[in-house]
Amino acid sequence: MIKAQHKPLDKIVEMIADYRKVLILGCETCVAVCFAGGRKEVELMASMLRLTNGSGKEFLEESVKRQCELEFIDEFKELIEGADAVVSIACGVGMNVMAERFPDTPVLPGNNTVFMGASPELGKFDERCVACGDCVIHLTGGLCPIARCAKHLFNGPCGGSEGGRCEISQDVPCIWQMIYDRLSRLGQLDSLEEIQGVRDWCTNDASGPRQFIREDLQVESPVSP
Amino acid sequence: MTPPQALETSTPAGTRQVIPPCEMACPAGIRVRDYVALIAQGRFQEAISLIRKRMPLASACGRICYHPCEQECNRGLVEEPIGIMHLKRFASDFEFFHNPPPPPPPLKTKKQRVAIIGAGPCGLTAAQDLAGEGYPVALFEALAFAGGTLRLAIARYRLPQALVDWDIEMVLSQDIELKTNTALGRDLSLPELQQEGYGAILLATGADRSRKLSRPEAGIFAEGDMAFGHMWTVEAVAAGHRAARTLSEHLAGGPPAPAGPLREARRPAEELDSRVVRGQIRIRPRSTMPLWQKSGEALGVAEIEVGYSEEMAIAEARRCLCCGSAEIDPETCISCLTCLRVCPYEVPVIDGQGLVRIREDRCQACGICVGECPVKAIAYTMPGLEDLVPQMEAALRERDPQAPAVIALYCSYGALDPSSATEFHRSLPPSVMPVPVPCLAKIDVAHLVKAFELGADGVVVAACTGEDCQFDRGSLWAQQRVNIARRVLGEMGLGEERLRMQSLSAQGFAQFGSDLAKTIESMGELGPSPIKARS
Repeated sequence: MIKAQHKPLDKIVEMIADYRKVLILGCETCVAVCFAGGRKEVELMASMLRLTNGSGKEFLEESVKRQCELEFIDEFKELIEGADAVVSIACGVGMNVMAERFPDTPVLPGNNTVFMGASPELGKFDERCVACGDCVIHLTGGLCPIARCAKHLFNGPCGGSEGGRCEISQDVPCIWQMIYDRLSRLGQLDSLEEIQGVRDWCTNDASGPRQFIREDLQVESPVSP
Repeated sequence: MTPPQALETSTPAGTRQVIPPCEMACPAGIRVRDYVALIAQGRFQEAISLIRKRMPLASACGRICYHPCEQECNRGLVEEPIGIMHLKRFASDFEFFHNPPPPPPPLKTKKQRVAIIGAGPCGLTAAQDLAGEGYPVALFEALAFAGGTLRLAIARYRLPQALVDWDIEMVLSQDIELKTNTALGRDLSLPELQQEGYGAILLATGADRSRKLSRPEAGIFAEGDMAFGHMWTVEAVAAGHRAARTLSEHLAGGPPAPAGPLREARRPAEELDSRVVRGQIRIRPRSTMPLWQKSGEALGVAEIEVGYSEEMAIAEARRCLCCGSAEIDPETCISCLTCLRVCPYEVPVIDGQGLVRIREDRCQACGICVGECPVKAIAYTMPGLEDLVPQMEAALRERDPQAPAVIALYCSYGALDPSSATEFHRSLPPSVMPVPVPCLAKIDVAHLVKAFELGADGVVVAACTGEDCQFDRGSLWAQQRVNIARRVLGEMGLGEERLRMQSLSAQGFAQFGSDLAKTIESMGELGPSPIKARS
């Protein structure tokens, strides 16, 4: 899921300086799971802002099912348009959708969206995918060398892999060591024999914002048989 | 699972589906677990008020009930069931001795008048329910007094009459008109009552002798002994509730919305045994009811059973396992798995459909998940948490504006025994406002920050230590949340030092007092919260 973290409070205080009626808008999906966007976080952030920056301001609190869906945010149209600004504690996707949907309402980021990842244990979040658009993990034992290797290497570790750790930090495991160990266990080490050529990064972000269309779902009116 | 009565499913914390066995077993549907919890927290008047909603004859029922609730009590599988009946008696005695003004009568919002024939347990209950719904109610009684069998058939040393008087007074205070010495067939007739404009008539005359009932007419109903033969007092009260519901459906035209399916929080014996073995439930025998001795005196007329003291009642109420008090609202839950990961007892599970469910047959009611759920999907359906913010607000309203205002959140369950709770309150400097919480594992970071928003200059969290904690890891979680809240306070420029954690132990009570005094003194040095200067 998408992982996000609150921005430092002073940054938010600075952003809302010119607005009187501020809506703190949470999102009950990915960012709620990582404790950055659920209704409890909305309540806490509103409390914090009232305490630090409360005088002359009004803080409204609401949380929507998914801020990245028009139908869900439209349910709170009046509330959103009634505010001088919205501090969104969704991910960047939700914030963009909000800004496009409500052209006259400033949308301010209360969160930093940090990565797509997993939570292997309570309170710990790890990046696992960068949405490169051309998955290769069938060759790497299911482990991603793009998201999890600092150099995005495709053909084995660099010289900085030592004792299974990455040279950037002893806390970071070398993913190529992990790939090797796993392929070895699966009896698939031969998949490393094939040299991976230069990759086309157009599927990633190299050719601008990505979009795809599912024409089968784009039926404007019911089709008669 | 169909309970014998309509149960109240809406709570201040949300709609509940899980019902503890004690409440499921009570024919009258008394919120047993919840009033026991209120007694455990020392909130006696609230306990009796809650009891009276479903059991108008609380003093009587606290003495003569056959208490099916206790037969079903999960604690009975550990060692002995909670002394529920004794606790009910305790709460009603507390009210009797404190003689509070009755609650204001409900507004008469309905025009149709209701006549009830017979002021025994069934008639009194139906009268209270219907008056509560806003109907003008007249109660006709053939004898010179209300109370029915409670007056006629129970030995006074078991049930002093002054208490029956009190119960009846509380019912009648709800603006119910009582006409005694008025017998059906002698002083009034059904057609007369109908002519007088009573939209519904309930026959609840009891069955002191056998008689034939004719086919019922529209608008005339019969309940209690006269309809179904002899029954226990609690069953007659249940019949009164049933009758009130029927009459109100008749008058309003159509039945009320049916409640959703209910689940009973019945706990398997082997599960309880394993908790005992692991030390998660401690063996604590039931408080024995003290019996009348020569020097003893109770209520003017000596009763055989003297009644629990406050200390005994609290100790007994704290034995309650609080069955089924946490439940997930599936519509709010986002299946984030937080509850499943924080629960020290492995209670939440993923069901077959990918939804998370708190297993009501295993929940220990520690409330850690309630404090951690990021979307507030877990309702703690027992009293004690929903009114935490109002309690803090009230405490801060009463404060001396010159002195630093410090809120002391302390566990109302663990270390402090009832007598030291009183001592604790007395020992606090006047600027400190104690707010009890049923285990500090239930407070969350937002609660702590809220205290400052409400105007506190400082907050002390006094959690129990080790053995004194009712639950595994309760205090540990409280500590975690204090740590986060301190960071937040720092970020806000309020200063971390305004929030402190202090351990509260029954043995080191004196030590606690002096530590607290020091903490508060050092908080005083911090001066008033900068928030006040800002606003």
